Amino acid sequence: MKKLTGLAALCLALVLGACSKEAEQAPAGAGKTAAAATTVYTTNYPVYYFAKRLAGEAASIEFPAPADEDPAYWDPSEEIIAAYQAADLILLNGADFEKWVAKATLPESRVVDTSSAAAPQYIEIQDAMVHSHGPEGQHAHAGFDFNTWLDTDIAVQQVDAIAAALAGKLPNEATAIQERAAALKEDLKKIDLGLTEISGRIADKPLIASHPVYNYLARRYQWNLKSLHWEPGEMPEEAEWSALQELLKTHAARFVIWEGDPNPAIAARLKTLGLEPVVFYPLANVPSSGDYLAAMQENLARLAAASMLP
Amino acid sequence: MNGMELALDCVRFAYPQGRFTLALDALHVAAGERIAIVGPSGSGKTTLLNLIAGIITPEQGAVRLGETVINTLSDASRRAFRIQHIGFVFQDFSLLDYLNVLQNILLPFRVNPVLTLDANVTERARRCADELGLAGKLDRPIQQLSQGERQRVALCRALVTAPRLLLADEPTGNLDPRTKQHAMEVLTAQRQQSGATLLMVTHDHSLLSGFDRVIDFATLAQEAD
Amino acid sequence: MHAFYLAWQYIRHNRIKSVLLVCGVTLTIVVPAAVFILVRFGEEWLMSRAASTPMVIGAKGSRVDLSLHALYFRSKAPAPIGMAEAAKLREAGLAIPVPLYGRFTARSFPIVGATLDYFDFRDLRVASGHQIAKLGDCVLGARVAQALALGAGDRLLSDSENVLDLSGAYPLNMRVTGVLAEERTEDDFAVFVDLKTAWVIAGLGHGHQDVSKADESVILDRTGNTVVANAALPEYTEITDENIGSFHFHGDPAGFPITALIALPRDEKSAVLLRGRYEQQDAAAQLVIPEDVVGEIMEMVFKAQRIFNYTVVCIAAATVLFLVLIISLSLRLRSTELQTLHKLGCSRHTMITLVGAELILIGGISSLFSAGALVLVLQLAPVLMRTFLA
Repeated sequence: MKKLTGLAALCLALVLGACSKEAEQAPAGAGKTAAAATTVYTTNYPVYYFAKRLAGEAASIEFPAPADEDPAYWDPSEEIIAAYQAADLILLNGADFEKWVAKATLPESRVVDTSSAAAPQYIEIQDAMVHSHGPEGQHAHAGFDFNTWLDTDIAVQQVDAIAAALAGKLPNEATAIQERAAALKEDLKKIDLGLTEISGRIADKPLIASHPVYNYLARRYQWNLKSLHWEPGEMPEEAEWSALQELLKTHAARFVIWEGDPNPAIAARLKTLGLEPVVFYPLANVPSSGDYLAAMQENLARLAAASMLP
Repeated sequence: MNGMELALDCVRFAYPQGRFTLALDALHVAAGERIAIVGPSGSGKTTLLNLIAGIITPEQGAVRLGETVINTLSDASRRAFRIQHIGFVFQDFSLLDYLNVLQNILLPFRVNPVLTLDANVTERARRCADELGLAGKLDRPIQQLSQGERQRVALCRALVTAPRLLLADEPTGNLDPRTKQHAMEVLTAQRQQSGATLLMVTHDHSLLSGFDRVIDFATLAQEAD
Repeated sequence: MHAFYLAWQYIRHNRIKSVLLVCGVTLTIVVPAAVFILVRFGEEWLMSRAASTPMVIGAKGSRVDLSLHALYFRSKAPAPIGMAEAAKLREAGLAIPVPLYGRFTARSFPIVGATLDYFDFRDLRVASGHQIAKLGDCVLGARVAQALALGAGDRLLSDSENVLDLSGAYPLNMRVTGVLAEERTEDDFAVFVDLKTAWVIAGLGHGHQDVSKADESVILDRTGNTVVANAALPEYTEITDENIGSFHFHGDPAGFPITALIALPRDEKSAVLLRGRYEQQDAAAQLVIPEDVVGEIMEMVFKAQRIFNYTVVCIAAATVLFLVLIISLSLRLRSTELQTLHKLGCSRHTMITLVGAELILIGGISSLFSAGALVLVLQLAPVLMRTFLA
């Protein structure tokens, strides 16, 4: 008897379990089909943010790079490449930002290089290694500075490219996308204005960047910028410290712009040379808090503070 | 089974090309009688058998078999009558070489709608072949048989319809003496069983002893001009 | 039924004669029917693929070669055009470009360098494994997988183009990521790779050790930023997760070669505009409409077939006459037999039935054989077609 009751209870539990599972699944499935109508995959945070702003709820915008990796050097797994392949639209930053794309198979007709219209404005990296072997002759593994969005002009062109691509996929949303694009461009202009103002204060004072990732800012705002090749988490060798000291003799900067918080030991040693570390996130990946605009405003605030240094 | 009475009356026959004519005033054969017909070759003995069998019909006169005057029947009825009542052993045996022994024996049942091939018929054919010493050879192709065996197959085929009149056209003509004797014994024995009227054309005078009557064809028929 | 029984006995007994007769009748049926089927099948096969391929752009030259190459990866690859042609098409917004680069083979099957758009365009589905994802990946057409007994996870080495040409194509050991579902088209017989992988096979891209860290023995000169290595610098013949980072392309990607560019116009108007562009005298490439080209080929085939049809009618008539002759001769040969049947009481009607049954049996057996042969022809039609086109 006891056994029978147990069995009945088990059956009941199974049936109820199945029912509740179904009940759970139904709305989730429905929600997914609505969102999956148009899937857009992106390769860096600025493009992701721009696309998200423009699409609103009309499309699901994905940016699958892990938060702790630099998307410019990221190598997606095959599963993630498959997800890109299945997307309705793939928005690239362009200017060789996403190196993995050159070695992956993507549906070209659904791929949009958002910065291609600005190609003449790309900044080429000069100091690449040149080598030659075989009959083809010399070639350099050179490339472009891919932080294109830091130049507001290019960012605006990228927004336009994204708007056109999205409107092509979502013709019913075209007007709304245009309106959102206009608003976003306004926001970008505000950042531009802020940077122009700060740059006015900086004028032609010498600046040092820990890494050559601010070429677009330097060009747009006519900074007198020299770049090192230092990593925020890696203590530079003595030779590099002496090179910096050498540089300071002719290029008396007051602060060093970092892409991330430098390790405290580096910061301390910089201070001994009279240099303040200032963090300006290029925002290739998702900021730890806030969105693109907020993070940019914080960048501006830190830079403004630094520009006040005597 | 009774033999069939046979009577020819004022029969005149000519082949279309006119090369041969036959005139025969009267021939009567009683039911169950055994008749041997002798005479020179080309005198019209085979023609006579064909007339009796209804394979050809006379221009004048009557061929009466039992109560039926067969030359007045339609082609189809005459054919039906012949098949049902007459057994014919041909001079050349007339066996088909693409059929085996049993198939040859049963051939009349396959080509005549008036005859029905059933298990009884097959059984009868087997028994008959058995009696004629063909027991183990029913599946043999004809080419593998000796002349004597072929003759027995032809006889068996003539008998399997249980005819009341048996016509044999020099059935021993192609056989060696020993086989000839045996064949004759078989023929006589079979006729004895069925009681059929027998008309046999032969050149062989040594065989005449077994017949009730010997008719010299030369005295029977007059060759026309 | 007796008629068929006897006829069958006759046919069996006269085996050789019957076999010859059946062969003659079968051939008379099969040959024209097979040609008809093959021509129709070929037409269907050629036309359906041609009709589904709106336009092909390629180097100036034979329109037929270009069409056959783009549709069936057949005929020697036409001279290449630059990838810029595809970019131009894309920028103009008139058509979706589907570039193909088909110069190499892997164990004699054509390697087709393509973009994923080709798979969408032909509606090719991966039946097992997964789609190509990275440099060095390939997916196999169903028949290739079958013929080579390869599946996802296996490796396939590309054929070297010319063993004597040291600077030419290096065989690349490709990774098979999947097998496509059978389509019963030429796609079943091809190995698909990313265009970029095809370019690696062509030697336009390669991977090797970082020269700045390479063994001094392979370095010829090191001046400033310029390092010259000799040919001993080992180049990878296989792309792996470890070395994929070292792969890179030399030269301007816009100049990278493609052998055919399928264009899928957005609409009628775009199609007309596009045709206009390539009809200009100074156009570097030509645009062909495969349907027109294949239509022209088929027209020639039909002309040949018409001549063939007349021949077939004559031969069929002759065969019928021969059959009549054979039957009448054989009836004459069988006069003794027919005489016997007559004497045994067989009517004329029954005799005709007997002969008729025989003819029906011969005809029936021949038809069965013909049907069998034609089913075989239908089954083999794709293979036969490929052989003809080769």
